[in-house]
Amino acid sequence: MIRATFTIARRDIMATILSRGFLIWLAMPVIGLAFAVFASIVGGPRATATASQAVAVIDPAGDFTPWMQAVAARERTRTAYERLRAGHKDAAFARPAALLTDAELDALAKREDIGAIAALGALSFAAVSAEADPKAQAHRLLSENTRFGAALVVTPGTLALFTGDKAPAADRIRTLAGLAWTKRALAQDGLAARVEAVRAAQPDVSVTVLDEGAQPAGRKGGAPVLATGAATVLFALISLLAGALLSNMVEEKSNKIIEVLVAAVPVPAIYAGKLIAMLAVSLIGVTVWGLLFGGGFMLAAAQLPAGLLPTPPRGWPELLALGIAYFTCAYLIYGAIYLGVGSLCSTIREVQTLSMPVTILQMVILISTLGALANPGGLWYQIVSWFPLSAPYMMLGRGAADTGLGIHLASIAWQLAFAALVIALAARLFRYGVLRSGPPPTLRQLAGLKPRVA
Amino acid sequence: MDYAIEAEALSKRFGDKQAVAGVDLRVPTGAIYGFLGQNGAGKTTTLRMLLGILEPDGGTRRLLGSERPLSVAARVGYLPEERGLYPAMTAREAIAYVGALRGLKLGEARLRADELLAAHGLGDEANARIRTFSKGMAQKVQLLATFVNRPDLIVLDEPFSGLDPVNQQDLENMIRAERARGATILFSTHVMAHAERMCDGLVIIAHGRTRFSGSVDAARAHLPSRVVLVTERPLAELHALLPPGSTVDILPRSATDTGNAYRFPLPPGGIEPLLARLLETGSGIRDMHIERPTLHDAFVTIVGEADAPAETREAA
Repeated sequence: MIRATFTIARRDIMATILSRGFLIWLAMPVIGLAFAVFASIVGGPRATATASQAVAVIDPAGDFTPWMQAVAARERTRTAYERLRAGHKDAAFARPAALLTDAELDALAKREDIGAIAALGALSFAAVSAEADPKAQAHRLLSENTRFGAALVVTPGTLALFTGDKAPAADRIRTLAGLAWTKRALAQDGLAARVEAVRAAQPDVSVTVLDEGAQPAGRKGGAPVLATGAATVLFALISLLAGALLSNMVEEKSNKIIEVLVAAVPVPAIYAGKLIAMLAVSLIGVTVWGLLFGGGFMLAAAQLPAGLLPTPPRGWPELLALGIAYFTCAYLIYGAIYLGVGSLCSTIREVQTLSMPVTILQMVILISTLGALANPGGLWYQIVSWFPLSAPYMMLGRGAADTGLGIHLASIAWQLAFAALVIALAARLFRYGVLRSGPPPTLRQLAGLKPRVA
Repeated sequence: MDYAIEAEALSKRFGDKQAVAGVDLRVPTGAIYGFLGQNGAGKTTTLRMLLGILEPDGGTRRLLGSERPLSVAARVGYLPEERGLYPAMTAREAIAYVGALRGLKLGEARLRADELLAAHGLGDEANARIRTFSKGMAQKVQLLATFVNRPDLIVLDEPFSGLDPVNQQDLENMIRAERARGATILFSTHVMAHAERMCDGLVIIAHGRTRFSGSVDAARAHLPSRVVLVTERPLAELHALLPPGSTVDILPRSATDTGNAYRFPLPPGGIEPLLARLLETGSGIRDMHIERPTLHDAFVTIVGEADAPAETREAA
């Protein structure tokens, strides 16, 4: 039986990868990416928001602008620090950003990685020589096509913000301006050094994690994004491959060679051969796409400061290994279902009709998975983690955030056992479907509890 | 006697339809057997059950001594009624693929494919793709694939359908060659001439049951031989010369035939006593011959008996 399985698998693999359709299938994600890049290029001019991030500061007295710029610079540093902190475990990033003093922020700003991130899309405040009527000047700056998206007019005792269509977040500018005003006032009253000293002297709150394993997945920095991304990528792959599997089955039936196969080898061998073949083909596809997109991603990541991109708790190699394992489980489960359904179909139209419920089911499962990943802990989280149709997506998502390996081994074993059950049931459906003999088997008959004919 | 196929009381129901209701079948090893029946009689279902493609609801089957047909699949060749090959495959690969499924090593199967293609005039097409072949050529490739593993038992479902007369003759020769090699062949067909020419034995089924099993001569014996007599003058006394109860048909004359033609059952004593009496009475015999029933006649009669209502059969 094993030999027959691999004979069938070998033929299917060769037939698939030597067909013209395979190249198109392989190129589909690349074409999709090319469209996305094209769309972003076409939409590019509207997205150049850098100019609108500039705020003109009209300060006739000239003593507020330096404070404004200093506060904005420190806020940029604070934001960059916060973003990098998710991927860093060293002592330099131990404290929350909100607790950092001005001196610490000024020191951090000199770091190359923080400086690089702080420069990305940040608000900038530029001093503009004040004219006789500052408000009219602000109107003119915003109505004419200048690089400013907002103008801040400073007069004794007042601050006035003017914004245009391209305005950056007004509330953020207001917050920064208020902070700068307070800083200047403290300095003018000789209290600035005292306030800084108090802040610097405040005790650091020590943190003790009592049970690290009990910490729900997704609450660690960067993990939710990775978890959602991993589950969604897996879903997209399975959907793409299921379509190819169904087409293969319909072609098989239209060639009418299936009876020759059924007469020569056991039906489970045919079924397993086809599943293995499509798994091998899909792994070829995944490898090609992984090299293309993974390579591109790594090239892009190399240009970014270390720690900016989210990192899985146990590292990328382990997540990739889990990805392959869960991909295989999901493929076997859904592939078996789709192959069983496909064996009942003779035309693409029938395939579309019969596979629709499975596709809808998959969508519901993806939505449930993403919902559960966003709200870790609780009964629903556990149900989605162990319900076999959602488990591959959910557990991969957890793999991107979780730290425990034992639970993944248990889950993979459970999913493979369920896949074996689905394959056994679907093989019975397949036997009926390929020969179209008699009425469809009932669920009890599929489960082998009752012979087909009373 | 050693049997390659033995089946007893095979039955199969699909929903409300009883497709096979009790087929008995015994094919001696090394024989060519015909499996005859009307459309929908249950031939294909029976063959599928014999080969393990379908599981019977009742009855027993034994193929090459095994009750599990797939366990002897490497010794069996099968041509299904619905033909099909992968269009993108070459003729050589298509035959080798079936060989590999039937237990040959791939390299050996390829060599065997080359050998078969060369022996049957397709050597130059070995590397051509099936999609470029005519229907007849593709069918021939599939037939060759049936023989690739040198099977001990070959089961062919309607092998002659779709073939032109030349290819039909070629197939007859191939079947005889396989028998000469030692294989047992069972084939279903609607064309009585093939069965009549080739078969050592027949099984005729109707309405899912075996109605006849035996030699071609035994099948023909279902109908009496008849005598056709053409005389120059009308024979009013012919009835008196025949055994009591004999039916005499007066055959219509053709435009160019001026004689009087009669057909009647061959008398139990043979033709000679009748011939002597006719010569004595000066009947003016222009032609007299014995007309043996054809397999076609026998088939129609056997199947017709099965079609007749029960009370009619009892009365007969």
